[in-house]
Amino acid sequence: MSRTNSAFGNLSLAALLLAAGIAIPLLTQSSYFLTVGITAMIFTVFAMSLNIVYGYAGLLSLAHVGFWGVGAYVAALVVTRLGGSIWEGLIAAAFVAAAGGVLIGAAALRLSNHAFVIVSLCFTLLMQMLAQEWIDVTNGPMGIPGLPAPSIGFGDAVFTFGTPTRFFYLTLAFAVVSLGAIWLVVTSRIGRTLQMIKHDETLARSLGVRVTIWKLTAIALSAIFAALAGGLYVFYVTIVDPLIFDVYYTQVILVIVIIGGLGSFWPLVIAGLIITVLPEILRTPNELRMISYGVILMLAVLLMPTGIAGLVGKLRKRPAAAKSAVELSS
Amino acid sequence: MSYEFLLQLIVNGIVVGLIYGLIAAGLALLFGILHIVNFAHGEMVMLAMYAIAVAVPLLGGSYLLSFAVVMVVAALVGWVASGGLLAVLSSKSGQMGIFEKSLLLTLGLSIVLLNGVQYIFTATPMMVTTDIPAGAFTFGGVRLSYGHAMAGGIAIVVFVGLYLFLTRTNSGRALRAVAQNREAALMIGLDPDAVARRAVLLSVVLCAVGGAILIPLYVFQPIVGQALILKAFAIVIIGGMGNVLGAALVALGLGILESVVGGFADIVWQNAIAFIGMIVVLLIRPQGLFAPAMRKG
Repeated sequence: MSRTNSAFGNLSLAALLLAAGIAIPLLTQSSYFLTVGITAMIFTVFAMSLNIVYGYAGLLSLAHVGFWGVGAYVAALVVTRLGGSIWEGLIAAAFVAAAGGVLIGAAALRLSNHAFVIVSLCFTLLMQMLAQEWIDVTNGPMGIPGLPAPSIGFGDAVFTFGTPTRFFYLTLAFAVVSLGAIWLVVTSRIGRTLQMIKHDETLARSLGVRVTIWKLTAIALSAIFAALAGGLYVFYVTIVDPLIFDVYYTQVILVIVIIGGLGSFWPLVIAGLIITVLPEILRTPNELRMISYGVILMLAVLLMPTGIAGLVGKLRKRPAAAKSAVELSS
Repeated sequence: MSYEFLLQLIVNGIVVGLIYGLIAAGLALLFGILHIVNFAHGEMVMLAMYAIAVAVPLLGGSYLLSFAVVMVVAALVGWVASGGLLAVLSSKSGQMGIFEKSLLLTLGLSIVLLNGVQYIFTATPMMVTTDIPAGAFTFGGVRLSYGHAMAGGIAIVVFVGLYLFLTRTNSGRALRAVAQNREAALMIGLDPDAVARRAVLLSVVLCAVGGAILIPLYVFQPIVGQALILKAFAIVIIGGMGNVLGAALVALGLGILESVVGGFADIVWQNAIAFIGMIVVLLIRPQGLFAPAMRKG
C-alpha cells in the first residue's frame, strides 16, 4: 500500500494510532482493558512478523509460534537462570530464534517452499516437546512462573514496568519501534526484492537475485520480531509454559494476516487490532473461540483471500489502487 | 540388557511402524496425486479412534464389528469429503495456490475437529475396553500381545491390499499414473477428478484403519492426532514427498528405531528421532531417500 499512499497518509494514520494508544491508559485504569490492549499490540507485531515471510516473501511458515515460544523461553531463562535483565533476555531470544529460523530454512529450502511449510511445523512441535520434556532446564509442563516485571535502572534509580499502565506504554513503544522497523524494511529494496521472489522466483533468479539468501534473510528477520513479541508477552503474563507453543497462536496470526491481506501493512495492523479485541468484546468462551477462529480461517481463505487490503482496493475503484492491492495481496 | 529385550523392542517397533505407515501413506498419496497437504490428517485418525470408542459399547463390546462399521462410515465420509474438497480447491479464489489453500483450509479444519472433540469428550484420557483378550503370544522370551498382533495383522493385510490395488488394478494404476505425470495421464484419457476422489477416499480410509488399530495399544486424548501428524510429515519428507512405498518403508524403520531408542534412552530422544532424521535427510538428500529424481516445487 505504501507506494500508492502518500507519505502524509502513512504518517497521519501512524500518528492517529499512536495518539489512540497514548490516550487509552489515560481514559481507563481497568487492568482488563489494558490487558486486552497489550495483547492486541503484541499479537499485531507477531502477525506482522509472519507477514514479512508469508505476505512478502511468499513462504508460508508455521514456525512462527515456534520462534515466539523459543523467544519466550530464552528470555525467561536468561532472567531466571542466568540472572540477566529482560533486555539481555530479549536480545538472546532474538539471536536464538533467528539462528533456528536460518537452520530450518537452509535445510528445507533445498527442497521446496512446500517442504519448508512442513519442516516449519515440525520445528514448532519439536520445540514444544523440548519445553515439555527437558525438565532440568525448562521445568517441564509446570513452566517457569514468577517472571519479574521488566525494569530499567539509572544508577540507583530503578524504574519498574510493574503496573498494567506502565506495561501498556512499554508495549506501545515496542509496537511502534517494531512496526516502524518492519515498515522501513518492507518498503525498502529488501521488501521489493522479496515480493519479486514471491511473484516469480525464476525471473528473480535469472536477474541475479540470490533467492535462497533473501528468503533466509526474511525468515531470520521475522523470527527476530516473533521472538521479541513472545518474550515480552510472557513477561506480562509472568509465566512461560509449553502452552506458549499452542496452535491457537498460529491460528490467530494466520487469521490476522489473511484477513488483513497478505503483504499489506496498514490493513494488517487494523485487522490485528480488531481480531484480538473483538472476541473480548463479544465475550466468547474459550472453547468456542478456538473453533470460531478455525471457522474464520476457512471462510477467509474461501471468501476473501485478498483480505481487507483487497476489499479496500476494490472499493476505491481507482485502477491504480485496485491493481496495486491485488498485486500486493497475491 | 538382554538379547530378548532388544528383540522385544523390535517387535513392538514393527507394529508401531506399520501403523505410522498407514497414516503416512495416506498423506503421501494426497501429496503425490493432488499436490495438496492435509493438516487435518492427524485429526482424522483421532476421529476414527473416538468413533471406535463410541461404537464399541453400542455394539456390545465387539471390536471387529465396530471396526467394520467405522470403516464403512469412513468410506462414506471420505467419498462425500472428496467431492467437497475438490469443488473447494478448484474454485478460483485469489492467487493462492492449491497447496497453500489446502493447507490453510485443513489447518482450520483440524482446529475445529480437535476442539470440537475436546468440547464433546473433554481432554480426559480415554481407554476403550474391547473384547480383544488381554493375553499374549510368547516366542521364547518375546511377548506379542493379542492387541499388538491384531494391529500388526490388519496393517499388513491393508498394506498388501494397497500394494495389489496400486500395481494390479487399472484404477490403482491410474492413481500412480497421475502421480507420476499429470499431463501425460490426462493425454491418455484418465479422468483427473475421478482419480483425485479415489485418492482422497483411500487416504481417509487409511487414516481410519490407522486410528482403529491404535485403540488396543494406546490410551488416547483428542491431542493424539497432533503427535501422529508430526511423525507422518517427517516420514513423508524422509521417504520423498508423494512416494507412498517410500513412506511405508521409512515408517517401518522409524517405528523400530523409536522403539529401540525408547528402550535405552530418554523419551525425548524417542520423539526427536523423526525430526532429526528429517533434517539430516533434507541436508544430505533433500529429494528424500526413495525419490527417483530431484523435484522442485
